[in-house]
Amino acid sequence: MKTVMIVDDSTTILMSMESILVRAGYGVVKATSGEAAVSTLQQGAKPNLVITDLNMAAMNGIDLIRAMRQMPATRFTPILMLTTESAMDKRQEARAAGATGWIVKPVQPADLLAVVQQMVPGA
Amino acid sequence: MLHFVARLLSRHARPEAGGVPDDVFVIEPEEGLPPEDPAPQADAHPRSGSVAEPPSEPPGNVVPLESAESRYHRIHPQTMALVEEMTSYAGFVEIMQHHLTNVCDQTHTAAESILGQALDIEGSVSGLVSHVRDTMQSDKLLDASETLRVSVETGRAVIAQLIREHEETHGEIRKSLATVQDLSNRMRARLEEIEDIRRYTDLLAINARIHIAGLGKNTGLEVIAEEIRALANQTGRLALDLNGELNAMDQTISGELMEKVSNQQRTDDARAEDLQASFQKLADHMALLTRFQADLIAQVQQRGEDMRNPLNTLCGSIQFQDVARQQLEQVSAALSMISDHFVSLSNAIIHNDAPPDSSIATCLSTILESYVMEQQRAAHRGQAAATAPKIELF
Repeated sequence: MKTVMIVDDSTTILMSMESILVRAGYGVVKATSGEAAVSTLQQGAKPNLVITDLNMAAMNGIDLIRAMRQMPATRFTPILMLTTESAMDKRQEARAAGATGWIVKPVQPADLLAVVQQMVPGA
Repeated sequence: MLHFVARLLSRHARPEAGGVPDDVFVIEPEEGLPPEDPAPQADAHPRSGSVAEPPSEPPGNVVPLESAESRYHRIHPQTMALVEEMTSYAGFVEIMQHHLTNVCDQTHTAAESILGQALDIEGSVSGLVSHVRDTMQSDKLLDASETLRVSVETGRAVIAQLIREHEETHGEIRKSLATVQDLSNRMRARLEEIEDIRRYTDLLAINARIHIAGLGKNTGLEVIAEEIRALANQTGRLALDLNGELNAMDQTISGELMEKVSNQQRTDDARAEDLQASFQKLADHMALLTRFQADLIAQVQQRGEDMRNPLNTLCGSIQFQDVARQQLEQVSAALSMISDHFVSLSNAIIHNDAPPDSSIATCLSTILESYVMEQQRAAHRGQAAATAPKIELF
């Protein structure tokens, strides 16, 4: 089963995303902060895709991307930003850090799944 | 903060020179500084329009009570009222922040509840659809349907067999009756032979009487001739009786018996047709029931899918709570910033400090920089948010 890691400090978002992805046939790993995500990855989690929030306390989404790009296991893992932010300069910053794509909240399940299936086909 | 305000607003009578007029507030020295014995100011009332530049030029609302180095100042009551109003803003902000926190908490709880209930409904719908599908594909139902179908087919085959056997029986009965009629006809032919014999015997008797008459009387031959004639008559009566019996038998066979057989066959045929029609109706109803069942299953599955899509959309729409939460948190942070700014302004007035480095303009700039979504920036500037793709792959 293909696995997606969701990183967000909002439990509402985590529940919403989990329900959408699980129904589409994906396994889901959740983390409520960037630090928790890094810890989970260091413990051996190998998600096929990571979807992370941008604005989180301490380690934000872009910091998480930078940390993941330093880890051999996740150097090439696709990472989508899921955020309320839509500013172009932020997108460019995320892109430079190694983000694969940018999605503005709130996103409809069909639109989200279209992107996820493009990143991780065959679920 | 409230303690600070209470301390700030406390009035102190001056210990010498007959005290300070009631309309003048005296500010205590800051903690840690030794209280000096301030000399009485010649002019106890503030000078309107003066500038706070201690020690040479005090501000317009602050009047030095003694030397330029002193921490004691007189503040005009109206200015003090304004300071009181400004410092009380902190309490106002605190209350508003409580409200905002409550809104965040309540929408968060509501969003989780809605999402949980939506997932429960979705789970129930999925379970129902799966149950219906599994039931339709279960061996028991398939076996029951197949058993019913086979039973109907078997019943129809048995009836068809019974009808065939019944027709065969009727055929055999007719055949037997025909055989009896044939025998009757052949017996009738024999009766004609008997009748021929009677006629011949009668002729013999006549000839015998004629010859006997030629021989004269008392030859004894008259008795023989009479017996021959009696034999002829007896034979004729017997043939006649036999013929009557045969006619009666023919009538019974061809009339009553055949009619009864035919009637019975018609009755049996009608019953068989009714039975066949009943089985046909049963088969038709079973087919109808199967179609209804299939339609029902299709409807349940379709409705289930129809319900799952909006529930799925609801799961996405619930993300509004996170967007609203972040905006409310920004408003709360902005309120804190303004509150702090007012406290700084108050301190500057009361302690005769220099105005704070930050201004409302810089506060607004800071707030603008801290926004987490373009929508907030656009609202801040009073502009429509720039259109940007919601999804972008790099």
